[in-house]
Amino acid sequence: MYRRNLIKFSGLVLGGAVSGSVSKALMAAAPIHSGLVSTIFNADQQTSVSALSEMIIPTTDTPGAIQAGVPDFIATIVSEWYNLDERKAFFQGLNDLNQYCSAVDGSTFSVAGDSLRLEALRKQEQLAKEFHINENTRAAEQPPFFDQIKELVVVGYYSSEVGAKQEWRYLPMPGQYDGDFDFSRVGRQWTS
Amino acid sequence: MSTIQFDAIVVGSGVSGGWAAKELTEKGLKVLMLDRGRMVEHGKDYKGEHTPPWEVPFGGKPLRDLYEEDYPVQSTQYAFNEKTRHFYNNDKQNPYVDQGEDFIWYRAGVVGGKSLLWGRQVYRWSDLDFEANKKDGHGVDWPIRYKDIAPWYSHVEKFIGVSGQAENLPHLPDGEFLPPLQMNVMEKAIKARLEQNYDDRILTMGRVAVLTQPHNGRAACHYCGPCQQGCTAGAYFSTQSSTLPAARATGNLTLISDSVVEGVDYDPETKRASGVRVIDANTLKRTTYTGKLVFLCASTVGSTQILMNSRSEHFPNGLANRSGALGHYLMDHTYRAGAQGIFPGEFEDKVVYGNRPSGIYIPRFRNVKDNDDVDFVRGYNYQGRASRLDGIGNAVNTPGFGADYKHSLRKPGPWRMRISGFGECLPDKNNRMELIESQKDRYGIPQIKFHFAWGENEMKIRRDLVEQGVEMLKTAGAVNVEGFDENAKGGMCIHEMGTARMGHDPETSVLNRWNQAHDVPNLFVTDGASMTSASCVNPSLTFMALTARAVDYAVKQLKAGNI
Repeated sequence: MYRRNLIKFSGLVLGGAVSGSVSKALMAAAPIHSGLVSTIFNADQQTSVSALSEMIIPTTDTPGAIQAGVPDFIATIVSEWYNLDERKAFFQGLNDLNQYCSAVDGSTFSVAGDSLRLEALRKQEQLAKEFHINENTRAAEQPPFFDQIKELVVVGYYSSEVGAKQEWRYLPMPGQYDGDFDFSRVGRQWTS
Repeated sequence: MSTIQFDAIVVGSGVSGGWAAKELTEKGLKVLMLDRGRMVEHGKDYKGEHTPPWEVPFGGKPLRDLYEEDYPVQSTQYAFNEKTRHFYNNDKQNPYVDQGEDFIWYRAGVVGGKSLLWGRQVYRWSDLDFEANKKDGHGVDWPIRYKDIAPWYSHVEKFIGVSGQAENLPHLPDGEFLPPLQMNVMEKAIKARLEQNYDDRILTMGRVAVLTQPHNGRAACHYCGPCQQGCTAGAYFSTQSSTLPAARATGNLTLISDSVVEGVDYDPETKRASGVRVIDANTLKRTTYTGKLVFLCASTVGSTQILMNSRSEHFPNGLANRSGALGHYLMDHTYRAGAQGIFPGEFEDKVVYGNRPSGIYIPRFRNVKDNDDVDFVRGYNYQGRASRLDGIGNAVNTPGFGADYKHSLRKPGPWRMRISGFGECLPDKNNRMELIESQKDRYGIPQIKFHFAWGENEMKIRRDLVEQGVEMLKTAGAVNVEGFDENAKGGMCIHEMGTARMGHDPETSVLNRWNQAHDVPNLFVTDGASMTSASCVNPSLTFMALTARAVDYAVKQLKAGNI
């Protein structure tokens, strides 16, 4: 069952987006969505999840979260790995982002401009910080939405073939060990 | 019911069973090796080996529902994940009573047993260990001393391949070493600082059953990292990479997997173990095999379970249990306690290349000489490593998001040193296992229930090793130093020992100095069950050496007509 929608990131066709703009990245990446994203998320939520992925790990001089297939990864986790409470909290988080944008200019997160989106996500980040400082809340089983979305994007990105090979340096078969290796020779974290 | 005759029957195929099969077959005996687990062929069945992260389901996140249902115990073990799960016991199919409460029983579910999954650390015990019970009065005296086992340590080390650094410490004897693994630049600095500040402590490279050069037809380590996924190159010692091919090469071995041993029959006429009763794990068909010798190597708990379940008119409390010691004196090492600290600004331009299959080792320094001013007996060692803070977990925990966040993660965080103490556990009669007749497993065998609690001495050892760990890391220049003690339960270190101890006296011990049952001369128990005390030192090498020594004795006795 859990293997049913196992994502093979290696099968994705990479787009050519290099701009830092989330909107451009969203457009460039549109074809790579699998069917799963649209079964668990409606169109508005799909756009929000893709936007959040790219805001957390954007395209820079290396591909960002969308090209790495992170929205698909998130759809898989939310639909197949999350329990009911976690799923509920995740969708509530997406709603909260929409409400924040709506209160500012009547938009939703999915159609808001980059600066309003950033403001909405920063608000969630702030709520998470307060959650962890407050002794009454930090013991709760359910982490705040910001922690949820960040964990999903970061795990999805760095465990993907794009994240492992293009952003970090994938070294599956070192062949030798050197405990005194100059970082400048690789310039990135290893992953294996 | 059919009966098939062998010269020797070996129950279990882990580090001990593999050695028993190798030595017995090489001495010309026709050997049957039984294992309750599924077959795992070297290489072919290492299905998690070299799996890239993007092929692991859910980015490596645990399959919670499945683990809670089928693997509630095994899934708490550090090496358990989707790349290794196929090597582990299914706790739902093969449970024990009050699972996860007093004692954590980690078990493999395959041929090769825990030799596929182990941490590969191998250290010789010394007379500091073998004399300990006699000196401080806890437990009974070991019936052997270092000189009895030393040649067998060499015999085993030469075959399996042990990399390590000779240190000339009487209480941690050097072995037959291949070149040691290399310390990293941070560890070298910490070593120098510690050895400058302490007269009684050294930091050395872990001694480990991983090849640093080709050895006996096996390839050297390629530093991919997660040994427990299996190693087709055979660079770490396992039954599959090492003893099983040797035993098979003799043409004298019959290996039958999926064979659950229910009990060992006893013949009061000959006063010998006369047969091993086996249930086929898949068909439940029963077979009895007979052999002139029976070696129980089914793991500490497994071997004792078989003896306890082998009751007869002559041994109403379990085979070879005239002493009443069977099932008692269960031990482990203290675990998941130690200290860690970071070294910001040091060697930030340096990283490691490759994944080293071992950490460093700080040998025992407490009560090594008789005059230590501490409130406990025995001692502990530390195992640990220095590494950069990096990886996906560190990325999740690093605040922020966006381009700056992404780019900041290109450089790993500061060096961190973490050391964990492995403390000796005293033999205590109250720490024991029993069979619960009213709760049988799917084969009709009574399930095990454990009774285990750490004693006062272990608690004092834990406190001291946290305190000393913190002090040493501060001395070495670490900051943000914190001690930790996660209150690990017995069994979590997977160094379970005892329950069928060796001893001089048949009234107080199960086995004699040759791992031979006092009361059943053709029955040998050579795994962790036989241990009379626990030392603080990792035990697997000693299981292997005791096994090889016991086989040598048993075959000589057999040929002389004494068995």
